[in-house]
Amino acid sequence: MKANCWMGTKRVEVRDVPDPAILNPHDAILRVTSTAICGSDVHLYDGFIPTMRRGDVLGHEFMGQVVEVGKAVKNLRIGDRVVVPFPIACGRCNMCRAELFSLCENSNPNAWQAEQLWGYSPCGIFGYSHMLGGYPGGQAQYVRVPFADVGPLRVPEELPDEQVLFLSDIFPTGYMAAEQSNIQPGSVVAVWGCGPVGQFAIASAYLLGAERVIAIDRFEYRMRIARERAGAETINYEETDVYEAIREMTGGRGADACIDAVGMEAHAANAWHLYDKVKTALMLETERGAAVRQAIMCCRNGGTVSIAGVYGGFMDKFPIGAIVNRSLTIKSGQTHVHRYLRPLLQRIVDGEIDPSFIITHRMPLAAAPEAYEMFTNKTDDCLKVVLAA
Amino acid sequence: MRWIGAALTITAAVFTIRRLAGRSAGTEDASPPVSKAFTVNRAPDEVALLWNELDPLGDIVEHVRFDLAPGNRGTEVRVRFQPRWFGRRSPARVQEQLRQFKQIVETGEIARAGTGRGVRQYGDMPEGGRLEELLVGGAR
Repeated sequence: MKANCWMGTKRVEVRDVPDPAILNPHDAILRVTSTAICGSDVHLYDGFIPTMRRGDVLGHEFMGQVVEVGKAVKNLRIGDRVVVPFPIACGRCNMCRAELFSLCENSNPNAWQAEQLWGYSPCGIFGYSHMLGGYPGGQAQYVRVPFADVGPLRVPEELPDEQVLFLSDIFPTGYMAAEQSNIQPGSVVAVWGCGPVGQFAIASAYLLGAERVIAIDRFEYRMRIARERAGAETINYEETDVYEAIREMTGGRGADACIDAVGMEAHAANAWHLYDKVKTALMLETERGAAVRQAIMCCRNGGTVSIAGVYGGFMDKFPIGAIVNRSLTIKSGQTHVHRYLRPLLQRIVDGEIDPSFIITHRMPLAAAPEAYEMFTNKTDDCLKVVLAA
Repeated sequence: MRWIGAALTITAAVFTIRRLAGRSAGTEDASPPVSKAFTVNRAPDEVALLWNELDPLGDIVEHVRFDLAPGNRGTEVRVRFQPRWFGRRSPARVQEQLRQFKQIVETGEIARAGTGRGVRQYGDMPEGGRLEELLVGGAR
């Protein structure tokens, strides 16, 4: 089959690879119909995530049709159309029982690697480095789905792929970022990053009752979508002092909740960017933390900072003093997608949100290399690419 | 089958095996025994039964005990063994065996990505009777 493979920093190739096979009783094989490129794929593309190997099949946002099931999968049938959560979760361990699916204790065959870096291991993830399992991803014609009795969600025939595909990751990710922000009636929420997760965080903050959402970015086309489609007010951090602007907009209080939808490759318009560029180049830190630092500083006393952006290792100049002395709450986590699938599908069915508003490009799987380059460099006003497999 | 009483502790001190290789070589173990602990989301009696059936560490184990985990989280398993720097007695290898045992007991299978090589994979699970019943569904 054809699959989009990581071949080194800034290099992906669509190659012929062996078809996936059922390896375990709870496996299923899908024929992928739609798959997307995620902002976190860019971290792999840019070489920021360790333990990638040449030839690894990328992709953790995908959906498709069931073509084969293992003998212990009783809930799916051949031909079912399903969307698949990016975390692989067994559904049976203590973490899964607590609905903390991205912390599944049984799905990462390389848990020992993650334990070296983080103390304990999270779940395995499709197409996201060997430290997180080394599972082949879904930017391919076919994909093996472990624990298919737990993850995949059958979707209604009347909803096209584009409306349900993002249940696999970014819609629940944006939603969880907002949900864990302790949004109350009257809350003012600030969101760093108007990429796909930021757009869904904005939309979700409104779904959860926020009064105002302020979004921070520097790409006008992304801020325009945030204003026109998600309903945010926007700040261009290259033109405006973000701290002063948020202070002014919130009557001097600061934002009740600050959501980081940027992550480890943040860009800043000030000296922080040079600082982080130098430190990461010298391997003295692994993250460029400008967004989360600013989110912390802009949060009101006693407010919540919710980190949805991906971080991998160690950050320099993390303002712990602001957190402690101002009673800030930090919330984070890889998304526990499974627990949001059904409620968010219901919101789509009910017409509360149409997640396809973020799609700017539709391309064939064969065009993945061009799509990665365009999405990473934010050319052609690219916000979200969907690949037809 | 249900266990009565929260303070239940099964101490299945089934093995007290002197390291045969060490003994035959006439050497005493220099390093103290190592303990590895993990929690399995199943009842202690079921875990003990499966431990004896699957025998994940064979003669490596000096002592194993199964305690009820607090907070309704199943069973805490503690395994004591004499470590070696390399091979199947290395703490890292033992840890992986225990992780795979937990995976089988909780899910009925061992996680594998289909790429690269694992440590050791169990063969086909024994079929029929009580063991299969315990394995197929995984944890309840």
